[in-house]
Amino acid sequence: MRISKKELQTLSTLLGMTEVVEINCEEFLAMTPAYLEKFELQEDSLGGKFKSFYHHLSICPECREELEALCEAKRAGHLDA
Amino acid sequence: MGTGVDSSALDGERLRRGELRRSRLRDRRPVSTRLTQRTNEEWIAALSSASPGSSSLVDELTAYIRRVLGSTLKNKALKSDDIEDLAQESILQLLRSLDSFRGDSAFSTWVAAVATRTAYTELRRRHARETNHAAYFQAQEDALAESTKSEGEDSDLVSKLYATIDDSLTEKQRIATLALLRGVPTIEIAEQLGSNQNAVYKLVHDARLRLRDALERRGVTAEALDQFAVQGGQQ
Repeated sequence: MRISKKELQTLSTLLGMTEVVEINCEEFLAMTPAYLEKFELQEDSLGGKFKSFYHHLSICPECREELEALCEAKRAGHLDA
Repeated sequence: MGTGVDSSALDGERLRRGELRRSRLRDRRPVSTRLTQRTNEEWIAALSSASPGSSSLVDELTAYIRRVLGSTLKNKALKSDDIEDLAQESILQLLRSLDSFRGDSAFSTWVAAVATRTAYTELRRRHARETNHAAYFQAQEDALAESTKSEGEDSDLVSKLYATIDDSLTEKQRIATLALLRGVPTIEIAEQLGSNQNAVYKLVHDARLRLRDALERRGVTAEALDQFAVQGGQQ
């Protein structure tokens, strides 16, 4: 079985999103608490501080899954302030 | 934010998962899952001087983590014992990671983020073991076989993509990239490659940069790649 056409298409999407400098999952985690306390604001009002954070979010499904769970817990009032 | 936490003490005998779990089962004292109001500095100072394992502070944090994980893992259909295991794993990780707390959020928010990361990573690791790493080994086989060679019916772009993957990437880059495309968890790729998750991210990031440059040299434009990717999304 070789790499499928569908996988090549997903890879092409990722290549189009690739930046020379990207944050990794550990750096994303370090920014997550600050984001969690502000995510209900409009993206624009967060300024450029979270640009690399949003970029990582768009290419890393694992970090996306965790952040979605955290945002939902925050909205449900399960995180202490 | 720096701390003076004695991590060797915090990782001491009483904090070893098994014993701590047994003591929890023996001693189910009601512990509030609401954290006591403290400033970030007070949290760090209190944890720095906490008695390892027997600290009510650790009990308080563990109860909070249990509540957080009950929420962030609610779609995972876990038993309460699983949540307890993951909470114990998380508290250990948290105490080891105190130095990484930057202080730009409430301490409780940082605790929730670290605990959730620890628990999800552990669940991904367990799933990989339960499936005998099948997805990883298939990706490895496919990435290393002469399987990326073009076949007659491929378009020019697809042929160039296969050739570029073959020519431009190292074996490790091909394996890690294909495994990630197939949803193999980063933690599993890292363990199989004898590496860590940050290194895997860098490996694949470098692979993406290499591929993009090599494709450009082969005359493949960003627009052509976008168009090809969009076709995939429409199917």
